[in-house]
Amino acid sequence: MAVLKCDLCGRESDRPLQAGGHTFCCHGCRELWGVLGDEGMAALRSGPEVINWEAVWEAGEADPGQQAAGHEVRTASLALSGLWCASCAQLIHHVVSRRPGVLGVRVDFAAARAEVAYDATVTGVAQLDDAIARLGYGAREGADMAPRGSDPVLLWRLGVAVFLTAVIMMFSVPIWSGYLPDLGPPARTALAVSLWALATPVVFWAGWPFLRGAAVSIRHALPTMDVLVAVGSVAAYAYSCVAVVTGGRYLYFDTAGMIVSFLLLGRNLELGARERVTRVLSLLAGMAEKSAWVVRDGVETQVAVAAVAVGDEVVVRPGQRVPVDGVVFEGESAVDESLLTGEPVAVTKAARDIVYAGTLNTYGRMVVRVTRASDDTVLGRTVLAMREAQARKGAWQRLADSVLRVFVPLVLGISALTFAVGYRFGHLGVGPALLRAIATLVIACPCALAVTTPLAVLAGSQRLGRRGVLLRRGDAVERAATVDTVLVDKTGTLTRGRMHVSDVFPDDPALLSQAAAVESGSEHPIAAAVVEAAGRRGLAIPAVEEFRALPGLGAQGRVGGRRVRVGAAAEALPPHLDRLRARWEAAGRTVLAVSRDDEVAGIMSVEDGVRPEAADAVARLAAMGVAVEMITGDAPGPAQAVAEAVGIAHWRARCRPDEKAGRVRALQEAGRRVAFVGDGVNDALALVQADLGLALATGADIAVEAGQLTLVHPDLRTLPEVLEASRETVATIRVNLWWALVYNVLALPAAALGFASPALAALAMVCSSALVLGNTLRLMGGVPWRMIRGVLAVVAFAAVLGVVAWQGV
Amino acid sequence: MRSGPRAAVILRAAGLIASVALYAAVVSRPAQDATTAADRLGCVDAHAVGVQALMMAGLLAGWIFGETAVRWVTLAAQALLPWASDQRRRAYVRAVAFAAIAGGGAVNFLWVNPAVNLFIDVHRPLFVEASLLVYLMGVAGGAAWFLLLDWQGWLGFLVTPAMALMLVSAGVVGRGWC
Repeated sequence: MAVLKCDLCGRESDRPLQAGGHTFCCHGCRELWGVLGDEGMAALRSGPEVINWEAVWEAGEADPGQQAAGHEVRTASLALSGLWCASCAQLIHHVVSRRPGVLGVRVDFAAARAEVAYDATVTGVAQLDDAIARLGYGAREGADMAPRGSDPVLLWRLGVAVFLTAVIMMFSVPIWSGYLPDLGPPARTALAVSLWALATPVVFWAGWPFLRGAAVSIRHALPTMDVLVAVGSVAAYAYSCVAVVTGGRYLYFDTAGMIVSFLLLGRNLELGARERVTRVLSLLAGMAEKSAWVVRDGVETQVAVAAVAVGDEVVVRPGQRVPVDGVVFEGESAVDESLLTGEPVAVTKAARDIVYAGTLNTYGRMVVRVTRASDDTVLGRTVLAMREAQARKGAWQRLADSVLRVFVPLVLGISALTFAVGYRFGHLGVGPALLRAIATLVIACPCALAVTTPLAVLAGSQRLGRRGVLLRRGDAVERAATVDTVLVDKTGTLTRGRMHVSDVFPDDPALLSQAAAVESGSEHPIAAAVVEAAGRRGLAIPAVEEFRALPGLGAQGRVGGRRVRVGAAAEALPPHLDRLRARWEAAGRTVLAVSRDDEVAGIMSVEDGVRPEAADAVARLAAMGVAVEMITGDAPGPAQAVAEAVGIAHWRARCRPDEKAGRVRALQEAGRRVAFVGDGVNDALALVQADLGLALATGADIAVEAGQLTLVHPDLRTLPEVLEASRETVATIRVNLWWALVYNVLALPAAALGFASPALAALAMVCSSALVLGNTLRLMGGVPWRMIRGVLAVVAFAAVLGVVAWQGV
Repeated sequence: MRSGPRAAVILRAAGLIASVALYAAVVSRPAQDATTAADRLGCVDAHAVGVQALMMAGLLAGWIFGETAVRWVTLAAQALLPWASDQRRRAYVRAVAFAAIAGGGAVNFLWVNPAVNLFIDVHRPLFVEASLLVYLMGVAGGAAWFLLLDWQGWLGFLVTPAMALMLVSAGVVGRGWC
């Protein structure tokens, strides 16, 4: 078998990959070449300040087996920056895994992180950082790098493009006015060369992402907008260069600059979407333990979580998060499972109870037998599912891609045809025929098509923003427009998420004040509700002695010489209290029993109030033809009570996070477009799985991060307004896209037949963009009038100044 | 309590009137005739002074409406940098303001060419467009100064013309006044 050298990294490979006449040692190198192109690859190989392959490889292959034995094994979590696409992650993995002392590498492109296991006696974090830096990426242990959603380089490109284009347009006044030929040769040359000099960095530096994208697109035979943008801008630029040299009447440098500026603006507006996934995954990753104490041969040994196997026994100490899913084998504790359930109540765990990775062990020591390890845990599967969900493209982006897949080759074909027909049958000669073909490309360049979606989404987001809705993802509006089913979480979403005492029996102030005295020593939400109820009634809360919290059961203490205990009404109650308890529980309330000196003195119910506007919101959704369903991790009793109170006919109770997401998936598979509204950590997976995730800003951070939309004010009536506003926004996008297509259908033949003079082409482009802008501004409701008034005032003022100058007062 | 806003409105109106008056004086026939005559002789300073006066008129308008401009710029920055901190946004906006001031100053090199000046003088539509553009650049500069120095942005009235006239005089030492 032939051994060939990789054209990118120089490694020898006996299984080389071939592409574009090059040889690559691996998929990562081939893909990296696909992104960088030949010039980029040559720059990488020749520029020691960017990458030094020899230095990277000089130490040779690592031998994990040898180095692991008897050495100090550590793991480093590195935050990465500068990743362009998945092949960058491949490249980092490829190189770092071969560093001496490196035992294993996992590079996560979505989260922009690398987990590296290494032998600390051979290498260190600084060396790993250095190796990655020599590949042209940033690496730092621990904290995240600067958000990728706000790429400073792309912003600089936009800034430079806008500034230079503004100057170009200012200098282009004589050209638009038709005075260029009237200028004397020196002035004309100076002006033309100045414009040329100003346009060059705009097209080739600011527009570099499009040129690179076009090169990749052409190489992979997948036409994208980058091709038209690149061809359009370069064609306008090339046409103008020829005109400068040959003394042509018109220059298109301003057109080239406008194309690049418009499209960079659109790209910058859309870039923020990628930031969100990094934040969510970082938050979830922070909840996963990196190591676990495994009992082997009676000895507790700390190992990496990845090395824990099903069947192992893991020790979980107080204050530590559970590293794996498993069954408690020994010990007892209260575990905070709010990560999964959303309920802020620690749950008592004893032998044979199930515990989940990421949940927090509060006070006891437990030994857990592993049932699911590593990525197979509920937490791990949540992270994986979120990554998969995030990888999907927005519907309108897919539509735009589909249109462009046809549009781009069509325009290129028409342009070629224009040249061929003009030259062969029109007897125009090579020069005029070529210029007509280039004009076709220039006039068809889809500026409006590129800006219409981000602009409309921006307008839509501003409209939603005034209603207290924040967009956390660019395609949220598009997603919201198609929603026909809404799934709502109960606790904290339909309810206030704040407990209050709803009934006390018997209605004895002394009973409530004694209960409040005991509960004042506890930080439990139910205890707070009891204390608040006593305070609301103006009762004095006596001092408590010998206070003792009973995790999962309640609390007890000595009040006024009597032993008082408040807690779950689990024990046998007198018949009249038992009947009352059953009735309250059926109404969805949590029932507490208050005992004095071990005798039940009374019971009280605690409940979470339904939001007053919830029923109205549900009714309005139903009126819009949107199906509403409630899904909760709570018990059936409270679930039914809340569903009936707000008018929801379909509900599901006792659902785990993956079951919530499963329900969303089932509805999606049945052809429904599903929105999920939630606030808890346990809702994160469903929020991501849904076509539209709406999180309440008052909820958990992860839920907020996972949703595409955030409701700043927990007013559920915003929900139907969001759907309505989104539908209008998407209708506007649709009109804008149609306009862009109609414009091109009219403009293309005009240019191909030679009717498109430079002034007409410029005017058509400006009119097209203005129409899109005006149509989009309608979305802003009352604001456009203020803006239009402002713009009209500015235009009128400018007109007055123009008249003053013309008349020479 | 109501005197503050009313005073601000009066101040703005007065500033706007002063700005327009200065603009009208520069583009008036007598001023233009004098400038064109100087341009025919190849003397650029008359034209440069006129352009600076237009720029100053624009600066005044931009400065008095600086608060409005800051609101618009802030909105644009929020749209373009949705994930950036306020501090970072402010840094970018300040950089843009610096660029606007520097760019406005750099364009002064254009007026050192008597042929260009004369060409503009004798083509009325071009003259109107050029005058408006210079005024607009002044407005942008005034807003930029306000953004950088708040109400202390009046310092721009000293710095901008000084910078421009230094550039012009450095370029045309031998062909200033005739």
